[in-house]
Amino acid sequence: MEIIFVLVIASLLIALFFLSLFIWAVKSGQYEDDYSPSVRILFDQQENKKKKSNTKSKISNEARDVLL
Amino acid sequence: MSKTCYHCGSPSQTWVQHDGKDFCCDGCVMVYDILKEKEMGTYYDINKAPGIRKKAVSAEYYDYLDQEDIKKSVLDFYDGSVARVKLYIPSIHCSSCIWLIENLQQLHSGVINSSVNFNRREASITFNEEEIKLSELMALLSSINYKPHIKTEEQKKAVKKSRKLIVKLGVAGFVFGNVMLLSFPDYLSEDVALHPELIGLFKWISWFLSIPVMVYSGNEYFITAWKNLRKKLISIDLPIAIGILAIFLRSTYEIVTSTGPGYLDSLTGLVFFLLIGKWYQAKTYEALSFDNDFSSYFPLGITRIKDNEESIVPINQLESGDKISVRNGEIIPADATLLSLGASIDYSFITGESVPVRKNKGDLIYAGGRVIGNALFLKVEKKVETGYLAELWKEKTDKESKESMLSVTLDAVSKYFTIAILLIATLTGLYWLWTDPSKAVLAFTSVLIIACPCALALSVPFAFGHTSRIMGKNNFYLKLTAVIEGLTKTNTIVFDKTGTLTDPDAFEVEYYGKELDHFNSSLIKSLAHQSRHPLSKALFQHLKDAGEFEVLDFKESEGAGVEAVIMTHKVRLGSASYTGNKKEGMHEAAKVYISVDGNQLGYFVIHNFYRPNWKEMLASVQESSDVHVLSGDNDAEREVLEQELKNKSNLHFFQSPKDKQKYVADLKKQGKYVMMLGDGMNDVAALKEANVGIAVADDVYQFSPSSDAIINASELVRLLKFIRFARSAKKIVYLAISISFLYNVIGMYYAVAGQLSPLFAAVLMPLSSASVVVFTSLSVMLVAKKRQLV
Repeated sequence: MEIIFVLVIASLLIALFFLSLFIWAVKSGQYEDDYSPSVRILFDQQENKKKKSNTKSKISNEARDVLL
Repeated sequence: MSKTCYHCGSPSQTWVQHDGKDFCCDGCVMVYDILKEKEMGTYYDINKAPGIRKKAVSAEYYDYLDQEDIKKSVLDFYDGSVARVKLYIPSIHCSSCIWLIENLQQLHSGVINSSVNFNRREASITFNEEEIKLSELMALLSSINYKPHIKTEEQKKAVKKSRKLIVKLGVAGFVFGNVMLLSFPDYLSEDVALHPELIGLFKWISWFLSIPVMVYSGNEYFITAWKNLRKKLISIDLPIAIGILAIFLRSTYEIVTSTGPGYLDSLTGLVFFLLIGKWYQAKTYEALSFDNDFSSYFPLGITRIKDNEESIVPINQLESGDKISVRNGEIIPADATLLSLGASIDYSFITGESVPVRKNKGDLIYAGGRVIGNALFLKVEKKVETGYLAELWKEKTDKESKESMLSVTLDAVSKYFTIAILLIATLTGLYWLWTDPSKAVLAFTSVLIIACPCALALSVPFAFGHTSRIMGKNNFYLKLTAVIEGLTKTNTIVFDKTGTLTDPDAFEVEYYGKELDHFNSSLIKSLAHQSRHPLSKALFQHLKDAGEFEVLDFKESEGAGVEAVIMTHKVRLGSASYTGNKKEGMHEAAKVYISVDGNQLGYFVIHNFYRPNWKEMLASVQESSDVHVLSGDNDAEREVLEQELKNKSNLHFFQSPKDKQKYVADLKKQGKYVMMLGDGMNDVAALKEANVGIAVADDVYQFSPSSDAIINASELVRLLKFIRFARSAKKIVYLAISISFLYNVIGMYYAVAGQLSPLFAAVLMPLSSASVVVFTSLSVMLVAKKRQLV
C-alpha cells in the first residue's frame, strides 16, 4: 500500500523535473526558431574546412616571412 | 530556356557578363565580387541564385549610430570593446542567407559571432567595437544587400509575450496530464474502488496541482474579464472566468468535505485547450511589422550644427531653433525652414506625388521629405513629436478598443450567452431551492460548469486562425483575425493610385517628335544617367539599348531640367521653356522635352506603369463594392482611370494625406464600411481611419505603413477572392458556434436536472472542444481548396 504513495510522489517529482527542463528550454529561446538550426547543422563542416585552410595559409605566410 | 541572374535569379533584358556568369545588374556583380574575394562562394552552392536585387539605390547613413547615447540604446551589450546587437534584416529569406550572415566574420575580422533567427528575420551579432563600428557593421550588411534595421521596442516586447504563453501552455499541459492520471480511478466503475486513503491523496495532489493553472496559466481570463467588466463590456472571457471559478470552488468544496471527486480534470483540460487556441492565434507573423509609426521611417540621429560644430544627436533631442544638416537621400525629420539657397525635395513618401518639389530659401519644409541633391541646412521649427507628420499620426480613431477584441461576432454572441447562462443558472438554483434545497447549489454550479464556453472560445481562433494562415501563404497578411470580419463587411473600397494601382519603380514612356537615331538616344541616355530626378531615371531605363558617352559640364537646374556637353553637343532635357520648346497640350508635369544644340527634337511622355491585371481587379471588386480612387499626384492619368471606374465622380486627384483621411471619414459617416488600400506614408492617416486599412507592398518584409493587413502587390489581383474566402470563413464560425451550442444544450439538460457527473463533464468538455477544432480546421481547408488558395 505505502509503496503507491512513494511511487506517486516519485513520478510527480520526475514529471516536475521534466516540466522545469521544458521551462528552461523555453526561456533559453529554443522554441523561437524552428528553421535555422536544421540548416545550420549542415553548414559547419564547410566552414571549418575553410577556416583550416585559412589558418594554414597564414602559417605558411608567416613561415615564409621567417625564412626570408 | 530563359537566362536568370546568377546572383539574384531575376530575369532581365540587359545582361552583364562577369567571370563567365550572367548578372542582371552591376549591383549583383558587386556583391558577387565581395563574396568571391572572401572565398564565400558557398553562398551560391546552398541555393541557386539566393541573392537580393537592390531595388533603389538610396544612400544610407549610419554615422549617427556611433553617437554614445544612440549606441547605448541600440546595443544589447557593450563593455567598451565587445558589443552585441540584434538587427532586424527583412531580406533574410533562405538557407543561403543564414549561411552568409552567420559567416560574417569571414567578411570582416571585427565580427566575432553572428547567428540568425529565421522566423523573426533577426540576426544577433557580436562584434569587436574597436575593429568594426556599429555604423560600419550596418554598412557592411547593406553592401551585400542585406539592409539591416534597428529593432523597435514593439518587436522586442512581442518576443517576451510569446515565450510566456508557451510556458503557460506547458504548465497547463503538465497539470492536465497528471490530474487526469490521478482522476483515472474515478472513471472506473465502483467495483474496482481504490483504498479511501489513496483516493484522498489523489484528490489533494490534484487540487494542489491545479492551483498554478488557476493563478498562472489561466490568470489572463480573470484579468481580461475584470478589465472588460469595468469598461462595462462583456466578452467571451467573462463566461470562461465564471466557469473556471465555479469548477474550482465546487471541486474544492467536494474535496474538503469528501463528498465527491471534483471536476479538476475538466478544469485543467479546459484551460489547456483554451491556451492552445490562444497560442494558435498568437502564431501569426512574427517577422512582419504592422505597427510602424512615423519614427520607423526616420533615422535615429541627425547632424546638428551648434557653434559651428557638427554633432550627431538623437532626433528626439532636437529643439526648435536648432540648425541641422540633412544629406542627399536622408529624410527631413522635423518641420523646418530652409537655410540653404534652394532645394529639391522628394515628397513621394508623404504625398504620393512622384515629381520632386522645388523649395527656396526661407520656405517651410514639412517633415518627411527626402532631400535630393546637395546637403541642406535647415532650421528646426517644431519638435519632431509636434510636427506635421506626428499630427497626422495622432488622428487616431476608435481602433485601440478594436485591438483587444478577438472577433466582433464572438463578442456579441458571448454577451447574450453570458446573460442567458446566468439566468438559467439562477432559475435552476431557485427551482431546486423550492423543491429540494440540498441540490440547489449543486445544480447552480453545474450549470455554470457545463456552460463554460470552451468550444465557443476555440471556434474563432481556429477558424480565423486557419483562414489568416492560408491568406498569409498567399501573401496577404492580417494583423488580427478580427480583420477577417472587416473584410466580409466591406462595401466600399478606396484605392490610392501611386504605388498601389501603379508600380512605383516602373514607367511607361512614349516619344513624340522627330525620330531618334541611336546617336541621339545615346546622348539622351548619357545625360539622363547623371540626374537623380525620377523622370530621368525613367528615361534612362527606357533607353537601355542606347550607348553611353562621357558627360561634361553637367548642370542641374532644379525644377527645370538638366544640361551637359556630350560628344561636343550641348544637350538639354527638361521642361518646355527650359529647352525652348512649345508646350504640347496638357499635363506638363509628366513630359520631358529634348533639345540638342538648341534644336528641338521632341518630347517624352512618361506615364505611370500600372500593375499587371489592375483592370480586371478593379472590375471584379466593383461587382460587389463601391470603388473610389484617390491620388496625391497630378491628374495626368485622369482619362486612363475614368475608363475603368463605374462612377467617374469617385476619382480624385491632388489629395493631401489629410484630404484622403477626410474622404474616408466622410464615407464612413455615410454609413459605408470602408476598406482602404495604400502604400506609402501619405496614406497612413487614411489607412488608420478606414475600417480596414491594407498596406500594399512590393516586398512585405520591408517597412510598410502601419495597417490592419499587408498585401503583396502581386496578389492585389486576387482581392475579391480573399474577400470571398473571408465570407466563407465567417459562415464556418457561425456553424462552429452552433455546434458548441448543441453540446451546451445537451450538457445543460443534465446540469439543470442536478445530475452532472464529473465523468460526464470530463468527457463532454474535451469532446466538444475537439470536435469544434476538427470541424473548423477541416472546413476552412476544404473551402480554401475549392477557392484554389492552397
